[in-house]
Amino acid sequence: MAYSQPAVPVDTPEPQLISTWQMLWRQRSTRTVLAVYVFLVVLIFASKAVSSSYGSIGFVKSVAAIATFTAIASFGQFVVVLTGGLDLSIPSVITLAGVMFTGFCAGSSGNVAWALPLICAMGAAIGIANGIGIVYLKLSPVVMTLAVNVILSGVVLVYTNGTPKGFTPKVVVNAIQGDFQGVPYVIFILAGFAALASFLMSKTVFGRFVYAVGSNRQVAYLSGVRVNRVIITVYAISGLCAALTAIMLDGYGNQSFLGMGDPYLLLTLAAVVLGGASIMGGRGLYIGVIGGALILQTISTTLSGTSLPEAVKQIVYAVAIIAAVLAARQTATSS
Amino acid sequence: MSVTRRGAPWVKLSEFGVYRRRMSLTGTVGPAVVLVVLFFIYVAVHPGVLSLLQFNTLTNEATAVAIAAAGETLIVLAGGFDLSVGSVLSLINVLIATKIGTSTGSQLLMVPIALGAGAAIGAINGALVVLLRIPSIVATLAMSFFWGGVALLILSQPGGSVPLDFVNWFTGNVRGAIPAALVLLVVVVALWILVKRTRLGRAIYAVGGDPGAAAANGIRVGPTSLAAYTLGGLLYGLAGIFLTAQSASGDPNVGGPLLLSVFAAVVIGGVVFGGGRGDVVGSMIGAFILYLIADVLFALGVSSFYTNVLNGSVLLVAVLAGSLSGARQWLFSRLRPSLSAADG
Repeated sequence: MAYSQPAVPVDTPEPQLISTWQMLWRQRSTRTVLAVYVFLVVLIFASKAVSSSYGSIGFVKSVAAIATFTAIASFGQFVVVLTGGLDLSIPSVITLAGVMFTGFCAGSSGNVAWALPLICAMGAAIGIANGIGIVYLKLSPVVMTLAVNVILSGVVLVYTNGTPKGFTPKVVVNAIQGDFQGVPYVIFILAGFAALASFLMSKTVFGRFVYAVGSNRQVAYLSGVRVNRVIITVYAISGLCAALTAIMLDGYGNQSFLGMGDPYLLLTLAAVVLGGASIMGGRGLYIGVIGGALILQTISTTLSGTSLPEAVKQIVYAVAIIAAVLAARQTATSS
Repeated sequence: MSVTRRGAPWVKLSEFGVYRRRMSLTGTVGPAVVLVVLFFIYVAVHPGVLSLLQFNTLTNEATAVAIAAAGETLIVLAGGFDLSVGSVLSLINVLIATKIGTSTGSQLLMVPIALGAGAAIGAINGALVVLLRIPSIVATLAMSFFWGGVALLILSQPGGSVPLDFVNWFTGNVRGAIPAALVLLVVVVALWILVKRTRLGRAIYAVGGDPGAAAANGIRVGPTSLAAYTLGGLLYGLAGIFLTAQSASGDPNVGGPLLLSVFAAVVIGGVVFGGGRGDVVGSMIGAFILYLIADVLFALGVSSFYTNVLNGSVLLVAVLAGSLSGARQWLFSRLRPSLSAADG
């Protein structure tokens, strides 16, 4: 039977030519990120109400510098959350990596050359262990990473015998605390890290796989994504980011201390959620998460200028998480 | 089915053998045997425990976690998850330590206040999960920081004092023979066995086992989950009371480290995350197993620095053992296909 072209052409919609900006605008994630940064700018201006010295360029620089630590640790939490998991082991990985780095270096800059890659490898190895437990032993991410967190906090005690030894080498201290023309080095580190991480998530096959696993694990698997390998890798990335954060924190504080990672579970989770990433996985952009980290630090610095106790910060963050989860769902259902 | 549908929906539910089996206490036999064996080992290593004084100490150290684990179990059975248990214990602790007076009346009054506060906190957590439909892990993790912050607002530094009477009521011995903690635990178990037989008890199992099926059988899923969170919070309140009596002071960070112990106790007790399977009594036994393992090792000379490493490892081993038995059941169900499996 011969196939004949229908006489009347099928009414296909005219392909619309739209600009790149229009295309970006049509993506929900872009608009979410925009909303995050609009909120950030509003907050920065609002901080003027607390002190006249707030809201200035200097204020923004110092906020961005301190937010770098949260932003880098949050990338790990972000990729894990993208796959629908959760990493509760970040605090202890940071503390362990922090005390081991100062312990290994013992203040000598020469030791950084081997201690830095070793600590990063250890962070990644802990992440791989998390991933293996979750993928192959079929443990729930919460249970696995919670147990690893507590085990590592025990390892910290055993390693330090209660008091961390050594201090941070000059090289690292200068790299973190120094500045170029008044702009702290850490802001450059954050910019470089953000570019690298965004490239990884949006331009590489691995990034696509992470979003695919988070959107629908079954479909991703049937499409040929090695789901298990992706999940183990995201936990490895999380461990690596936590170790990097720890080394930077060592540089920031000149030394390590017990419990130095403790705030980072709340901070990373809050940054991810405030940055517009879906807690159910599969949706979000790292640039938004950085915005989330900046928002948290703006709130923190502003509250420090008031006479309110520290505990209020914790309460504000907690409420912010709940509000952000609710807001994310509102936008998800409306579009 | 020729059975006419009469009476309340749970009457119908009770006909399902699978629910009846899940609801029986049989799942707690394994943990109970382990507990007894561990106790004999401990007695062999450290015979002094048979004296009333040391037996009382042994009971007291695990009771707070056992009761908190009972609360967590209610929530897990209904298909939820609660990461806020540690902070709630801290909050109840500082609440009592700062508000308690020296008169007997004010000390007695703290009991209903703490229980009420616990239930209210549980209800708020539950409302976030049930009414606002926030995933329970995220909601309770955020709330754990919230309640922890509130505890720090009430009492920023460890401090406060608790009158000796209050301490003795809960940690002393009844008639100088039985630890009060043991009596308290028996009361909790007895109440649970009663609750389990009620419509609510059955509904909690049904909702945790399969919310869709439960709803189809006329069970109101939302209110049941909310009730589980509230009752769980009530038990946290009781655990907080005991914890306060035991430590005789207030500490805004006292509960944090207990989160893992509670989870470990729940898992050791044979309760399955995801809901519908396990028993409150199992978790309470699990708490005692957890502390006995530590006691045995410390009696053998292991440094207490290893407590955290040990607790985390025990949790992982317990979960692994649980998932292995799950795999075995799955395998057996394949080897001996039931009628429904053959149909499918």
